[in-house]
Amino acid sequence: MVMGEDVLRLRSRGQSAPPLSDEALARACAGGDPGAASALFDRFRGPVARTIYRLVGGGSDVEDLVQSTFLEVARGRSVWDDRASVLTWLLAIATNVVRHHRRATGRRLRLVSAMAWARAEERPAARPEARIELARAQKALADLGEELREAFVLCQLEGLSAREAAQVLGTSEAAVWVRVSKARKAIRAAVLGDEP
Amino acid sequence: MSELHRTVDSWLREGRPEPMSPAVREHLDGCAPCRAALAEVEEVGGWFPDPPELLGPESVEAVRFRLLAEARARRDQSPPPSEVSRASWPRVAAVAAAVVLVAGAAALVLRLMSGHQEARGEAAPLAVVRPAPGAVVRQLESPPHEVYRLVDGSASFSVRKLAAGQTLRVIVGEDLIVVRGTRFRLQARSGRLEAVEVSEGLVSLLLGDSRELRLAAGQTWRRDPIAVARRAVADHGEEGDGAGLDAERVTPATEEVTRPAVPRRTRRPRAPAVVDSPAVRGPGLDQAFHEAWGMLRSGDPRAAAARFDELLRRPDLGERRADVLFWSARAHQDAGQSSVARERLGDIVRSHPGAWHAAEARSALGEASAADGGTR
Repeated sequence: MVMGEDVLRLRSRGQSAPPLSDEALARACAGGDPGAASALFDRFRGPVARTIYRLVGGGSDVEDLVQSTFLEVARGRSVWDDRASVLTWLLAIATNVVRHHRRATGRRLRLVSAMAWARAEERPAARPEARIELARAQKALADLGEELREAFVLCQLEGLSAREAAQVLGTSEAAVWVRVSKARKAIRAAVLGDEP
Repeated sequence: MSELHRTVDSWLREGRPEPMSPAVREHLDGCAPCRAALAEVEEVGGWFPDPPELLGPESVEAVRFRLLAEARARRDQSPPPSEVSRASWPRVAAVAAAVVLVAGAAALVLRLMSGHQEARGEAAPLAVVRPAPGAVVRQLESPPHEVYRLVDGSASFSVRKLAAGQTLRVIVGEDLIVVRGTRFRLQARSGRLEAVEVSEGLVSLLLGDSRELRLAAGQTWRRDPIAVARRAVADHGEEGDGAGLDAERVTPATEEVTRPAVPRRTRRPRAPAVVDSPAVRGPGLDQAFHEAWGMLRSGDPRAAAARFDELLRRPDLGERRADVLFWSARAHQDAGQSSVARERLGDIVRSHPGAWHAAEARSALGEASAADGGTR
């Protein structure tokens, strides 16, 4: 097995990453390779952070939640098996971390979401209408129930298939697709003023 | 929303894989309702542009270190670090960074932490930390798994006797120390661990290259840049034990610390080494310094010496002058210009007696004198 610390050393020398597959890295994590979690973090922090950001509606907790996600891996609390892709597995961990976090800090998160909505209104956009749409969409996403929001973020925004999202969320593919559809309708209604 | 036909709906369910299959394209071309429905899907997606970079470089670095420390703690849970690993030295002797881990029960009871969910701020701190003026120490976690990060400067840690399940860690970079209630002092520079002095108790230092050293009260570990430089130049490009060079010093000597003998090697032309060079900051300084360093490590000490000497004429070196002097000495030495090398080292001792390289310069001067004596 290629050891993760070798991965780290190569990176520290400024060389290109060795051609380790995602699966090999995940297996190295499971085997307790000290550098593998860090290497996985480097490879997947983008989509994981983006998903968390969207699930919590922005805010300063994103960094902590990303760290918590990968700590689950580093500590061996969650071990990849080959039932899902490595990204799907990591997003499943991230989704659980966000759920725990939401339950612990629900009230504060609502405030964060409201603030994210306010910030979206301030963002520069080509058209004033677009700015308003953006802000409304952010608020609509924040207002969705947890199940709809998770399905929408994973499928619509992160591009997971319904089957992959079902693996992340621990539900059926059909259920995910229904949630995505409902979420989309609700967001359209909120943004455009359509009847849901 | 418009209804989708099965072909397009399936494609959407699969996460809109690219390239779009001919069947889907063909269907969309001929089905206005599906085109409208797809446009609606894409419109909704357009309301959620990708956020900007969510983790800054400092955050990324902090998370990396944390992950590494946690993974090592997990690895080290079962056997306590009671003996020195004989794993070969990595080629990157100067890979800066060290993770210092101070743990109760000498890693026997390193319990894994639970991140942000831990209760914080209520328990009494496990250590009293006294940073020296100018030192930067940050507390990352609270008891029972207290974590500090020493960014720069020196700090003394007085750790009370830890109960089972309590750990205290200090992250400096990539190496690691394990301690029971003890007193020790750490010295770091630019995120790189330079020295560990233990005044009470026992400290296990787990270096970034997976070796482990044990330091008892009264012992000091110090990274030795001369040895690092030797390794950079002498060891590169050879397949070998890689374990023969002593890149740090432990004083006084202890049986708990195994140090392989220092082999004398014949140098020969080698490919560029891959060793981090010390940082020299300032406008353009970094680049010039690293160019010089690159020349040295690629086996052209004369060019390197000339380049370091050019650098020495710069008025903006400040405290980094000692670094440049040191590597100039190194380059001149390798170029066979021992007298100039000695001048440079002497300059360090005279002009920068408190610099990081001063002790090494004295030592190198001593070695040079001894070598001269031996060849005469």
